[in-house]
Amino acid sequence: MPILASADWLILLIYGFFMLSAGISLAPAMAGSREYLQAGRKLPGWLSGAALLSAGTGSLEVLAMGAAGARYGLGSMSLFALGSIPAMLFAGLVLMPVLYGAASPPGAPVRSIPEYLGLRFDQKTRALNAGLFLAMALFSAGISLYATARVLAALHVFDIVANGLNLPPTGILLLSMALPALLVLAYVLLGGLTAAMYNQLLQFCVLVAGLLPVVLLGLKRAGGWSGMKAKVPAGFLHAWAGAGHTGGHWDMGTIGLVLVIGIVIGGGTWCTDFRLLQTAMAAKNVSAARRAPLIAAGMRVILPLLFILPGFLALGLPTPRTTILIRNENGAIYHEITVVPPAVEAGQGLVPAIADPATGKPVKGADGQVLLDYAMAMPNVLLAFLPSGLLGLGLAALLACLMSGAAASLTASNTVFACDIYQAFLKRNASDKQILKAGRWAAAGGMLLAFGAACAAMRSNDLLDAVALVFAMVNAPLFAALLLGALWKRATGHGAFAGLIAGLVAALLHHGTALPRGEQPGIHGGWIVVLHHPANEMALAIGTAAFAFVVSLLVTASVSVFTKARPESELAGLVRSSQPAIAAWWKQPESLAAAAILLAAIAVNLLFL
Amino acid sequence: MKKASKDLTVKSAASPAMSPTIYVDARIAVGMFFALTGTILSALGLSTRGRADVYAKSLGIDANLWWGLALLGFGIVMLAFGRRGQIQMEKAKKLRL
Repeated sequence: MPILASADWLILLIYGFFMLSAGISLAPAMAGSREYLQAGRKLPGWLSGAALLSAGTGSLEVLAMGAAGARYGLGSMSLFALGSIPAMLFAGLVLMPVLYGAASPPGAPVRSIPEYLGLRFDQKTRALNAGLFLAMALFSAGISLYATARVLAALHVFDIVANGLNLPPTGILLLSMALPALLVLAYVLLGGLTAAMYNQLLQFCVLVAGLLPVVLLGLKRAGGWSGMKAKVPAGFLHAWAGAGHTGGHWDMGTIGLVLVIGIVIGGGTWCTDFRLLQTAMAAKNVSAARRAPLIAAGMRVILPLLFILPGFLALGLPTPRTTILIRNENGAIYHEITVVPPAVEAGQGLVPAIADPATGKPVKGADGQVLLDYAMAMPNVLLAFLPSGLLGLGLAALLACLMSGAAASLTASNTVFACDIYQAFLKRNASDKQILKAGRWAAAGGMLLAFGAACAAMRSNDLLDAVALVFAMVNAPLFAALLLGALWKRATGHGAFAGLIAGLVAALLHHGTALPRGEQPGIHGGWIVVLHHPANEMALAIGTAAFAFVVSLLVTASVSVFTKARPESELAGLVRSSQPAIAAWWKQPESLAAAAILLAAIAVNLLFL
Repeated sequence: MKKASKDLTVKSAASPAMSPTIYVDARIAVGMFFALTGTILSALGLSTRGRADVYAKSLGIDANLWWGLALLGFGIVMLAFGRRGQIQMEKAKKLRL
């Protein structure tokens, strides 16, 4: 059944053309490695902010938010807000001046997080982090490629192309990964970080333009805000329903959960991940770099509404059923048969059940309940509400998520490769032209590796669940090292190195000894020996990250105390206490803006309490 | 005077940071995209206006027309901002040279 009309295709093609043309028009400006890897460090704050937000809203996040809306209710919005906004404000107010302004030889600003670690600590910490970062970035780029390709294949977007080429079903999936991947690679190779950030701005706008009509139509259908609230079972709208083990009461457990999510998950993402921070580090000066996370936080306050509401609406709509409609018209009898796959029919609302790839039958969990494929909530709502024409824009929005995340991974990993592997260890006296070339080759090689990871994920679906583990192994310890490095001048290189390794091992140990209820030991945890049972996968992921963070923090601090600190003269500009003095906090526009954003976030979340 | 200006041109050719290439303001591209898609969507909306089968999904609202017009408006606003930004950027460039 052809889902896309020619109008939809026209809009998708125009969108693709615009993304490519950003690369083509910026290619002549890529004179040196600074232009290519750091966008020349001359972009305005609002552009950095929009790109930062877009890079942080990759396909996994968007699908996850839609899924959380369907699974945990509107209250999951508070979780996403908590997991990001305080961390973004902290990044803007405290970390950006240190990361952006750090310059060991004057005029040579820090280009990446590993490079900062090299200046602040030592070369072994830098090498370790660069290697881990590359592995993580390319792995998760591959996973998000696969996740979105699955959605595109389920929506039959590229079926026309694939049928024209006579491809088998796996070919459609491969094509849905390869076409967007090639487009991203083309504009990153041509225009570097600048093209990626220009496109992230466009992607952000397309995301809003494609999803807002769904939200508006969905609300209208449900009878407005109050109509929607009335249809929901009591407690489902509550902020913490389903999130923790406590079931929605403000007790110690909930407050602890809130702190852990805010500090570890939010900090590990928005204060640590170079895929996001690179956009702020490309700003034209320190104050623009500080503004970028604040602008992103301001937009982030309302963004989850756009993603969570469609997923939430999906549950309330009627489930498609196989129907036979018999009509009697002018004496002739028509049988109209609508066939719906069993997995769709077994679902709840528009959320289908997970289909067994071999039989197409719905998969059942250990408790006999049908497992729902929440990631399809969002795409199905798009199909249900958007007429052809607008549907093209909605699909462009889904594609935009895939591309902004993949492009951010690609530009970040080519910067890390060129600066922290190639120039730092392989060829110390490399010329600027050689660094530029290394960056471009790294982009091409990185996309190849990411595509390989995507193909591996296609073979074994379990890899999708490894993303949270990889985050806990790499980002949570790194956040501890960065936090201590930027704020505590006593932290040493040996301490940070030991902390990163200890955090990685701690994440593996925690994951290996905990098993969510109703899961088999393996990629879901408990592969060493099962010692305890977290409530669900989300609790396991949060617990693993928190454990890795705490272990890394303790190890870094204690090893630092027993090793020799670097003299303060060497740390000029690399630690917060050695930064040039800035005005008292109530005189800075940034901190006032941050306070306003925090209040707005609280106000929006109170709507759901 | 003449000598000074010559020195400047040599310097600007040598350092890539001062290269004569100018970035296009990002808002111009965004504005062009939305002006174009907005026009296409509203044209589609006009031509299919009143067709119940097309708009059954969107609760009988001609979503293409109305959302197309909204996007067209957004595109024009972005183009206006982008043009202003571009003029300022070129002015700043001229001052530096």
